[in-house]
Amino acid sequence: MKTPAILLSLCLTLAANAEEKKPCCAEKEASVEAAGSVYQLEADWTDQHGKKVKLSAFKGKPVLLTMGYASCQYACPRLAADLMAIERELTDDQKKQINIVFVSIDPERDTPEKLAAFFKERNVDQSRWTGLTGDDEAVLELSVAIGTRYRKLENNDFAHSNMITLLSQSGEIVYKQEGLGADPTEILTALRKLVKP
Amino acid sequence: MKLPSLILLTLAAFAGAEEPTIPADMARVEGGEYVPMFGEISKPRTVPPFLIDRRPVTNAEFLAFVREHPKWQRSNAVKLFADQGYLNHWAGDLELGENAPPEAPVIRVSWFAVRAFLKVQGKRLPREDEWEFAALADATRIDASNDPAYLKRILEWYGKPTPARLPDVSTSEKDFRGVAGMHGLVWEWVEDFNNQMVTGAARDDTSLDRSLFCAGGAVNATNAANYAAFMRYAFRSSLEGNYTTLNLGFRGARDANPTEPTP
Repeated sequence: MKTPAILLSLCLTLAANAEEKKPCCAEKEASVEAAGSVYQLEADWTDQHGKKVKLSAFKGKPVLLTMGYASCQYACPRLAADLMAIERELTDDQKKQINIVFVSIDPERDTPEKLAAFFKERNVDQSRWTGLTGDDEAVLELSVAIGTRYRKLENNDFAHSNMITLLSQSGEIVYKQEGLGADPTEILTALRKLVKP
Repeated sequence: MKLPSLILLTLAAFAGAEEPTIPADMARVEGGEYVPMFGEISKPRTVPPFLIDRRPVTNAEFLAFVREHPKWQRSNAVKLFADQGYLNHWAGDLELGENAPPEAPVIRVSWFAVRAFLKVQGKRLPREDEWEFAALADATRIDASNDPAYLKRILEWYGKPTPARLPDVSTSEKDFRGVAGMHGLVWEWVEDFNNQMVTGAARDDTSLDRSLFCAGGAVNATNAANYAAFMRYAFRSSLEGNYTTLNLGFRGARDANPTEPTP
């Protein structure tokens, strides 16, 4: 079979499969409908104060969550800045009603002390900002559960999604803000629906 | 304990110890270097030796698992871990039915579910590098990926519609290690399926979108001729952990013990 014929055949196959269930669309919709609480993940984490916690400890308040690493020179400082930009738009009362969680994808280097220093440099309010570090398994499971992609590179840096995920009080994914420096209007709209004015 | 007794006990222990052997259902893949589809061409990756299942996991095997672990039965599966297509070609929670022959590969299983299965077996999913490295082989060669005929055969399979009833795993082609069905049966989960950052939908559109992803290294395609590999990477990049699809199955892997002899 020549290449064009193979490609045509491939397209026909994809079309045939699409009749049963479009992989690109129907399953994504199903996945969104089926989304459950990430607090079902039972892994142990350590916060920037050295305290052992489970994700379910954040139950009860909406969470703005991102995954990155403290020694990242490019995107992570900007992701933190994006989180701070969202936080700035909230009233003082609203700020008290949320948690902001930065999860490290670099357990090897991101000690609690390093995460604390990352926060201190940015002068964030650590009563609602939490840095979490866990083992490789915990990081992988959480990243898969929220749809963050990452890969360790040869130079020990990481490629990773630039994403801020809004979780409801019960840990369900409400909104994903993708990209750096994104307009926060939509995530703020979603967040304000979860908190009192 | 006196020294002579200790020596005797130690010798006895050595005499009684059996050399670790590879389970009959697994094959050893000697490690090596390879350049993945999206890698730095000047920096081949090293894949350490590992063990891989000789064939994908079957419906019968997965049924035995869900019998023992009701949490993973279709009607009990938590939605975070498996979407609504999970095992929906089975006739019931504990009944395979005519669309799920016992010896056919199990499909419509999520990443979370297959990892739970493998954990019970003392195995794990193959990592993407491991799977791709093993999949370079054909019946006689460690790496057949530069052979146009080999690539054409794989693409021809990709071009065929998935049958309503998949064939038995025993019917698929084996590589020179005796590993069957790497191509031509089902797509397979890998442990780190979520490691791709590519957003493009075609080989000439595989550059990184730096607004969506942060990367300290090159992630562009290296061998655009290997369209079959590109399709696998593209397919994986479309998956999420709770997705289930009609032609996605899995097999197990394990780290290799350096002293394990080939059976």
